[in-house]
Amino acid sequence: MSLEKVRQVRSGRFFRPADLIIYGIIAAAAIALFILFFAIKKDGGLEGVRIFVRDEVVFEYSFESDEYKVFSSCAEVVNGEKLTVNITTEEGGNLVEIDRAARSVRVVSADCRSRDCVYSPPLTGADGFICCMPHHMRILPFGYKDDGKTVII
Amino acid sequence: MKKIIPVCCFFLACAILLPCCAHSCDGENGYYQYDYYGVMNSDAVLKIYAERGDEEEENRFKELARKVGEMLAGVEKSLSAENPDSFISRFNAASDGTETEIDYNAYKALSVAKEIYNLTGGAYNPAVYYSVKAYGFNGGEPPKSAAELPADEDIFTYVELSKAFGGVTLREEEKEGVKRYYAAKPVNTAAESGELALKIDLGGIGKGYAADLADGLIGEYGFSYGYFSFGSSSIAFKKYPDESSCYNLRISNPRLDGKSPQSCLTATVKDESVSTSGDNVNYFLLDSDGDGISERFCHIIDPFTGKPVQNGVISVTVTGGAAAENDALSTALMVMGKDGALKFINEKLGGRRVVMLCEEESGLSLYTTMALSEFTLDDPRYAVHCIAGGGDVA
Repeated sequence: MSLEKVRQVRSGRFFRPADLIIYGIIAAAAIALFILFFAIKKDGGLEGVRIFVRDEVVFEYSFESDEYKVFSSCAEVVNGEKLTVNITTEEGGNLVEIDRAARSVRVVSADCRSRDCVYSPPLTGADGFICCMPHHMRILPFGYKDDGKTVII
Repeated sequence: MKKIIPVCCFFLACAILLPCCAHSCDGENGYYQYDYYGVMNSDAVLKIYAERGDEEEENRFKELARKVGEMLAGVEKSLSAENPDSFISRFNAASDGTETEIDYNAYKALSVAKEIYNLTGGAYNPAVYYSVKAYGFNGGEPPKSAAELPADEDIFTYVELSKAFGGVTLREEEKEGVKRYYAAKPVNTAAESGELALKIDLGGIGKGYAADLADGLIGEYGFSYGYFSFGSSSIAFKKYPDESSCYNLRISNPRLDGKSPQSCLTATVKDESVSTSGDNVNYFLLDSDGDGISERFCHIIDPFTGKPVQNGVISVTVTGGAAAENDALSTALMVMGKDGALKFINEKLGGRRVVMLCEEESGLSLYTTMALSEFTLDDPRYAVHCIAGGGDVA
């Protein structure tokens, strides 16, 4: 590049009308992509759950397809208006209720002393879980990811 | 037009670097090691961030996890009111005016209990043992009908008995290099109540006390990142692995309607202890007056009435200070009711952050000492009131 050309570039205005059009197009594209991302993003509702006993999946249910899979004899299902899953472990049992209409999952009874899981809030999204420590039973939503940063008290 | 190249490069760099930053925070160089415990009718989790592939650190974590397990078993053996061999049970079984030898854990936990009892004017009182039992909150069956609720004259006796906690004295002595600890009951606690004698239940601070001990052990073993959570009601936080960031603490929503979020508020925490009390944990619903509407009977007993708290305060969370203190303070604030709690927070809890949730005639309310910029409201049903100090609520 000649010195003359360098001088021309330096003396030129940073924003010429044509540049502004290009910047505008990039900004519009960025905004459109941003809107598109949130438009197609799921609303965070509960898509389904997996029930684990001692880190083994014993039951799975999808709200999307309204289908369930039983992977172990320790999970017994009663299919009514609400789906109820009776979990029996060596230490005791939990009755899990899946409410299709409310798209929520909760533990309705447990035969342990603390019954912390019964008092846990129902699962309504992918950001929580229910745990019964005495029975080593956990209910995790589809897509649940422990980011190690969020702690519920 | 050539300036478009640096602009495009800038956007491209952002697109590449931002996900990279997020990935490094996600723990590329380290990971969380867990251990779970089931003690004191509850669950606890130890979660420590460790360097990936560091065998020495992994072994150190295993040793820490074992120590925490031993500590929890020791605390249960000291404080459990249900275990007849515990030191608190020995104290409960002692006659009026006698001194009982207790261990260090029982001594320290009782010391905290006495301190908060005095600070709160008796709003925190562990001597509600008989009421806790009468309402079925110590592992028994809760009343299933109004007829099964404890009689008023019994409750009156329990309240009178609980007042004797103020007279409990503690002392320690050292003989030949060995420290011994003692707790003495005041005389005549049973005078008005016939057969019954003063008994205490340290369930209100036991988890917090254990969280404080776990916090100390985590530091002793050289770990700086992670936390110990006991029953999701007391948590001792260390730093977050990315030191420029914090943990997101979500406070459980005590009034869920099937659509509301699980938490009512999210705030950031690190290097501090948090405890919460609420009427959404361990409760039963019962129509006690026959009006067709069930009332909530929660496990938090008001020592002045001897009955479960039903004053509109539905949850209190306290951060800062020791977890055992926070545990007792959150219980006391639940007992005080909204106005009493606001006055107490302004006068006595200057150094702590408090979140108090209330169910009022106007709806759900959230009172906090935090500034609006310090938290995000997850459930918009709560009307937010910032406690501005000097007794004011903004």
